[in-house]
Amino acid sequence: MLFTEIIFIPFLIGTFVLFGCCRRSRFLQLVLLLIASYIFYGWWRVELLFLIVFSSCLDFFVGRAMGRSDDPKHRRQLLAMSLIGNLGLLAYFKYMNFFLESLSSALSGLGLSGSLPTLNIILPVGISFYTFQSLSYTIDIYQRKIQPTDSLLEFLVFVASFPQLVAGPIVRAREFLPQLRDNLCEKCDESGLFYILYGLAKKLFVADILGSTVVDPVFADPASFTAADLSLALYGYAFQIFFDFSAYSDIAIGLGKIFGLQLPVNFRSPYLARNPSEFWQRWHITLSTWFRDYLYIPLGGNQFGTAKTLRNLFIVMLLAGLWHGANWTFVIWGGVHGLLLVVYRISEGLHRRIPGFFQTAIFFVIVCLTWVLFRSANLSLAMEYYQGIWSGDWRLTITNMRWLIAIVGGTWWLHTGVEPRIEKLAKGFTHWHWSARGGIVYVFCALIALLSELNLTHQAFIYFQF
Amino acid sequence: MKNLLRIIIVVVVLSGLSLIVSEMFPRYQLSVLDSKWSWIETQIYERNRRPVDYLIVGSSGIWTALDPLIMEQTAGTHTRVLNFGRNWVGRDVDYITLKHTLQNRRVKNLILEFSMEEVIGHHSYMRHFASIDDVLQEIQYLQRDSQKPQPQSELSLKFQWRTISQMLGDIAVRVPRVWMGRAVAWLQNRDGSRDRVQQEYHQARGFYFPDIAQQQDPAFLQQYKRMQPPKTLPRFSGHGIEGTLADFYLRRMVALAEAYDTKVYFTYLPQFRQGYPSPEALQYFSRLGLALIPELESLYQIDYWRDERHLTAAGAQVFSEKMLRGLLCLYDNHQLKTIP
Repeated sequence: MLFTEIIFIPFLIGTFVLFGCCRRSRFLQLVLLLIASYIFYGWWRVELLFLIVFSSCLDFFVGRAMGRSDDPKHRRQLLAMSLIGNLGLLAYFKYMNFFLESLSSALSGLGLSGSLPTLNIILPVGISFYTFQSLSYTIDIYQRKIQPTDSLLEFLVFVASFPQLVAGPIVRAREFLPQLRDNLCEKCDESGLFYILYGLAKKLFVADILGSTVVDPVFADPASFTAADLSLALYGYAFQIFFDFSAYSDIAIGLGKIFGLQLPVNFRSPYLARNPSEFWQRWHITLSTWFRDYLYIPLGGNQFGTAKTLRNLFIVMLLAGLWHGANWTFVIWGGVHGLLLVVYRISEGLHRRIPGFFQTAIFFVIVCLTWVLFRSANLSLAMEYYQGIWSGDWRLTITNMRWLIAIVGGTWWLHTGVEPRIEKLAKGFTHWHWSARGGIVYVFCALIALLSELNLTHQAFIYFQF
Repeated sequence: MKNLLRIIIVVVVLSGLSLIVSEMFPRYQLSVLDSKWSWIETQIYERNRRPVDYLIVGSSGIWTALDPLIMEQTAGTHTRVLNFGRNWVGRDVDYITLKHTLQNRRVKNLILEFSMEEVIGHHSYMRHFASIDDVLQEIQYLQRDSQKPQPQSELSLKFQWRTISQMLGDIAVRVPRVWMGRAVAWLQNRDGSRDRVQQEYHQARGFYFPDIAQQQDPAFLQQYKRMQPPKTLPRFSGHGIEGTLADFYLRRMVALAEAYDTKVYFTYLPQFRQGYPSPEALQYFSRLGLALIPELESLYQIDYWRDERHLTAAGAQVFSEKMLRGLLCLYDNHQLKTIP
C-alpha cells in the first residue's frame, strides 16, 4: 500500500477510529497497530509477511537468549545467528541476482564459460529497512546497551509498525520500545496531521511533478539533450529525491505522532551542508547513524590512526552504497562518497579557509554530480550523462526561462526556507479550528484525485526499491 | 485525539455529501479537462435529449473514419449522428459510456468497431462515468490487468475491496475535484481556445480531432508513397477477440443495446493494408450484430490515410459514404449486401 494511494485514506481512517476505541487498553492498541501494519505490508504480497515475522521472531528469541546468557562465546554465537539470519535474507532477496550476474560477467571476462542462471526473486519492499532495524536490537543487546524485551507483541510492533516500515526512518529499539510501554492514545499528537499533509504535498506536487516533467525524460535518453537540459535535470533530480524521500519520512513521522509514537528526524536541509561529513549528518540521518554505530565504530572508528580511519570511512560508504541497491552504480556512488569523506578528512584545514557560502555551493555541485550515478540505470548511461554535461551546449530546450526560475527558486525556498520550520508550522496548524482542518484534509484528497486524473501521480516512493 | 476524530467525521461527512451530489446531479460527473471526453459527457447529460439515429462508439480509428456530417447528408436532413470515438482505452470503458448514454438518451442505431485483436489502453479519464451503481455492480470494470474476464466469485477479496474502495474514494471527492478541474480549464481557456475546441466538436458532431495531426504523417508517407495499392488482400485467421475481456464487454454492450431497443452494427477498419477478417471472426460478430465490411482495396489509397491507423478527411468521406449507403458489404461467403 502506498501513502499516496486513495486506498490508504480509508485504511488510515479505519485504523485510527479503532485506535481511538482502544484508548483504555495499551494491549489492544498494540494488537491493532500490529494487525494494521501487517495488512499494510501484506497488501502488496501476503506471502512476504512470512519474512518479516521470521526476522522479528528470530531476533526476539535471540535477544532473550542473549539476555539470559553471560557466556561471551554463547552470546557471540547468538549474535552470529541473528546476523546470518537477517543478512542472509537480505543477501538472498536483494543481492543474489546481482552476485550471480557479476560473477557471470567476471567469468566471461576471464574467457571462461560463465553463463550463470538468474533467479526469479521478488525483492520484498522495505527489507533493507526492517532487517537493519531488527539487527540493531540484537547488536545493542550484545553490546549491553539495552535489556531484551519480554514482550513479543511489543517487539513485533517495533519491527513492523506501518508508519516507517518500508522506507524508514530506521528506529532503534532503545528509543522505540520504551514508548510502547505507555498508553499511546494519551500521547497522540495532533500536529502529526500537518506532517502527513506536508509530506503528501511534497511528494505529489513537487517530487512527482519534477520527476515526470524534468527528470525522467532526460535520464531516459541523455544523449538527446543539451548540457543545460542535463544540468537542470540533475538539479531537478537532486531535489526530486530529497523531496520524495523526506516526504516519506515526514508522513511516517506524522503517522507516528497521531498514533502516539515519536520517530526520529531523518533530514535537516542536506543541501546546506558544507562538506561530506556534514552532508551525512543531514541526509538520511537514521541510516548514517546506523552505519556509524554498527559498522564504523566496530571497525575501529577513528581510534587507530589516520590511515585506518580513512579506510573505515571508505568501507562504510562503499557498503552504504551497496545497501541502496544491487547495482554497480550504487556501489560506485557509495565509493565516490567514501572518497569525498577521505579527501575532506585529509584536507580539512585547507577546506576551512574557503568562505562558508562557497563551501556549500561547491559541495552542492559535487553532490549533484554524484546523483548521476545513483539515478542512471547503468554505468554506460551515467558516463553518457557526464559526457553530455561537459559537451558545453548551454541551450535550454526542455523548459523556458520562466519555469527554470520557478523550479530553481521554488525548490530552494522549500528546502531552506520551509523545511527547517516544519515543527513550528505543525504546531501552528494544531491551533486551527478542527472543522477548517477537516475541510483542508478533504480538499487535499480531491487534489490527489485530480492529480491522478492528470496522470501526475502514482510514482512510487524512490526509496521503496531499497 | 478528540479533534482528530472530529476531523475524520468532517471528511466522512463531506465525502458522503459529495457522493450524494454527484449521484443527483450528473454534471458533477463531468471531467472537464479532456476536450473529447468533456464533449461526450455534455452530449450525454447536458444537451437536449433529441434521439440519436446513429451513435458511433469506439477508438480513434473510428473517430477519424466516420464523419457524422457526411452520414447525415447522405441519410437525410433529419438524421442525427454522433461520433463518440476517442483515444482507445478499452471495451470496458465503451460499455460504461454506452450504459450512461442509453440511460439518458434514445439511440436508434449503434455502430461499433470490428477488430481482430484488442488491447486494453490507459487514459487518465477512463473512470469518468463510474457511478456508485457501477462501482458496486460492475466489479469487472477496470479489471484491466487481465485480458480475460474472471467471474466475480473468482476475483480475490483483496481485488474487490481495492477496486470498490478506490472508485468510491474517487467519487467521494468528485465535487471539489470537478470544481478544481473547472478552475484549471478556465485558466487554460483564457485565450478562448478551449471553448473553440468544444464548439468545433459540437458542430462536427464529435468528428473534430485537434490532437491528431491534420497533415499526413511524413514517416508514413515516406514508407508507403512508392508502393502500389494491393490488388487482393489476405484474410486474417483465428477467432479474434472471443473469450477475452473485450468479448465479455462486447456481449454486455449488445445485451444493453437490445434492452434499449437499439440496433447494433459493426464496421471494420483495419490498419493500413491489412486484410479482411477471418471467417470465424465474421461469424462471431455476425452473431452479435450486422457486420459491415467495406471493400478495402479501394480504401487503401495513400491519400486516404494520415498514418497506419487513421484516415484523412478524404478517406473519411469515402468510408462514411460506404458505411452508410452500405453499397459494398462483404460477408464471409463474399455475397454483397446493403444496409437495410
